[in-house]
Amino acid sequence: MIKKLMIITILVLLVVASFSAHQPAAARQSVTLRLWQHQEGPFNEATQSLIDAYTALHPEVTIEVETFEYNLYLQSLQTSLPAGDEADILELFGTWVCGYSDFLAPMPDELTASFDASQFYGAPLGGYQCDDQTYGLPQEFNVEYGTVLVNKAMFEEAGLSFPPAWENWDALISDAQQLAQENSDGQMTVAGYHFTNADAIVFSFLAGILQRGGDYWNEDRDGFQFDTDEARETLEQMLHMVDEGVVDPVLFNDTSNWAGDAFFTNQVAIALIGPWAVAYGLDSFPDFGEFDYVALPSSGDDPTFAADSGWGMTVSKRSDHQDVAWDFINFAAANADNALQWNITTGTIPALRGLVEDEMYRPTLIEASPWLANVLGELQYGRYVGDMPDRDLLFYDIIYPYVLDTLQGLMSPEDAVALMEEDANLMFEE
Amino acid sequence: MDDLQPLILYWGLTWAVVGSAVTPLIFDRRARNPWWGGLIGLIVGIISGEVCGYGLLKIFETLWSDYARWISIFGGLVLLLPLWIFLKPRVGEGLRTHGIVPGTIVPLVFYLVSLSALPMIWAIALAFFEYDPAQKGGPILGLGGENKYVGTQYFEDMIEGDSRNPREFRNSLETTLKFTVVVVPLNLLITVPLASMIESVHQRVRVVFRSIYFLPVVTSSVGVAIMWGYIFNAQYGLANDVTGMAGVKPIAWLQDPRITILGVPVALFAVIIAYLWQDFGYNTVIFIAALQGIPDHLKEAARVDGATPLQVFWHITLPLLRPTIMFASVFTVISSFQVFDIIQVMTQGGPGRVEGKTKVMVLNIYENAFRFGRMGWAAAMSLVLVAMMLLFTLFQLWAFRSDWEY
Repeated sequence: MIKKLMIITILVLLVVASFSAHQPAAARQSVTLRLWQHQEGPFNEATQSLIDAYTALHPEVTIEVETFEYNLYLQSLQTSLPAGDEADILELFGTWVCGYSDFLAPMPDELTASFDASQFYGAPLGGYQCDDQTYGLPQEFNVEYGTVLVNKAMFEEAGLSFPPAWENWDALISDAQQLAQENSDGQMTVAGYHFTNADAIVFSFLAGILQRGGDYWNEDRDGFQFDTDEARETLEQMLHMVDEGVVDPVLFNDTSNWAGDAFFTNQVAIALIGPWAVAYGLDSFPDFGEFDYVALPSSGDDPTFAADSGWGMTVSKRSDHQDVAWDFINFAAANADNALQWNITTGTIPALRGLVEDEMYRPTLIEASPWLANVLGELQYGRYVGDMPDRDLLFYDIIYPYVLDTLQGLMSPEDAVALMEEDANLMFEE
Repeated sequence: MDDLQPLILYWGLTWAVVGSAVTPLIFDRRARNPWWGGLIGLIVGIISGEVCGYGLLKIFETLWSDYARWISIFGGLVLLLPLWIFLKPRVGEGLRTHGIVPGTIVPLVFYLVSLSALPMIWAIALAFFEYDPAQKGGPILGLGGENKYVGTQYFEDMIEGDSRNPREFRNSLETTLKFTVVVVPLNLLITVPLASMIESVHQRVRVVFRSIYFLPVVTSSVGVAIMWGYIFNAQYGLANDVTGMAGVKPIAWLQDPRITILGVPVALFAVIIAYLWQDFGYNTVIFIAALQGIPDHLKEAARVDGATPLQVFWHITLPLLRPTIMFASVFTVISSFQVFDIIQVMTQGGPGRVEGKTKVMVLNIYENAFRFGRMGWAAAMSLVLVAMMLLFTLFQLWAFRSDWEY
């Protein structure tokens, strides 16, 4: 009997304790934050360094990093944010931020009071600002257009001057034709000018429209217009380059001979890809020879091109420690020394204006990433691509497929731009 | 403890299974109906796991935070233990021994319902809503609100729509049908004679052959896809070396959307070859087993009557294999409709990005659901896929029906 009574007493105590546990936990000194990031060696390494520096200053804070493969990260964000089990700090690409702003914590008032937006470039910061609120801070100025990687050995072998300074597109095409190589079966083995990656196609197309004096946004900026003369001319110019043999879009595209790998394995002489690919390339192919970044010619008088904000950090609205999370973001992205280290490790272009324009930082940046010297001069022409309902859908499921299919001879430029406009505007109805 | 949702799932699932598996055995030993034990154990397990698990988590979160999550897992025992200890035996009844039956069946039914039936019902519901998990939905399961009710709109679009989604749907449907129509006969044409040949050799050698042919089945699909991706590589692939010996110019098997053979894109043929290579061992083993079950005296009788080996195969073996052919055919059709991983790795649905030449329905469903958040549209396509599999299966059951046994 006593034994039974003891068991009952223990069980009753456990149940009572379970229910009584709804009282708020005692205030704790330590704060643990979770941070989500996409998987990419230099990015993960650079972020970990920032965390180490921050936690050394704030020993009560622990930041746990969870990384995801890129596509899986997209899916995790899409499902976790509505479900409410996301991390406290989320690395987001600027162009995604407004789509998720309902789930994000805006910059706290005390930080807003001292925040100087002009310290960031407009294009990268633009992605993080929605409805007059700032939902995060950019760490990089993502530039996928304006400059190209060039392989010195290949230029010298072809008897071309290096680094090239093309005055117009005909000069670039002429060089690319001489640099392209085929095997005895007529198969292209080296692409002269690889512009058929997804990002390269998208940003070439958008830049071509802007530089010809057109716009891909309608007047009210609530819809896209691709069925225009400027878009058709741009597509025809791309088709012309393919016809001239600078690249075979069947063998060189996003899934086959991706420019980031192909350039660093000597399968491409001129590659249109963002500077972030250099850190990746040198990491994977450390013995690669000399190369440079040089400016592309403009398709019109105005060399403006669309720029896509960039990676940065945001805070979940559900985080219990939004203040600490925002403090970390500010430490990482708005502090010049920390931001510089992050940009150097990742090989990316700073979103902080001072790192590029201030003589205190610029030499360090150029010394660490010499290939950025020419890219930095082009930043002034970057225009924020604009807030869109689904950037990845427009870029990778609409513009890229239609342009690549046109270059591969599956449809005409006229059909491509008409269908592109129709599909793109469906996004606003969905 | 922000990430409570996974714990809630663990607490519920773990103790539902433990409760419904153990309680019938205890009911049985106390001479009570074990089926009631399964049901009561299931309910008590879930309630105890969730409520007491949460309570334990909150208690130990402050006392022993590093181990609080582990301790919370034991919340299910708080109510299950008293149930197991204090349940009174029914007087006058003897010990029974079939508590293991409900103890096995109830947890399995619970898993089937919670992890298969409920998601299927959810998918059916989603097909009638413009559901995107990133949108703000209504109060009931997120349906309504921004995830608005669209009725049968998706199904009408599939037939009549001319925008991108319906076009992609019809393209992926056509690709899936082409894939299945080529794969199923080819698979049977390879596996039936192959099994027959393997069956005819000495038993020791037969085991070796069977193992070799079955190896690709147990190989990772991703590994198989990567290997065949190299074989079909346009610039340094083995396939072009082989065709080159016959004087054929190199082909960009997986990249060129313009080359077709009998109206089927060459890239689709490439993934079919890879798929068949991995899949045919499965049917081969099934046919070997079926061939072993055909009585020898039937073949002997035919031979005595002067039948040639080919005639024996055609008139005796093949008809007797009919039920097995039906089984193999049904399963090959179902797996062909579900093909995904090999295509995702080898071609990602391309070549041809707008209307991917190898973009099958499952790939299209996956991209719409998980890349672009169009869960409703993806669910509607899934229903069509299930309906097609059902129709094909019924047709095969009818076509291969037989009313005799041997």
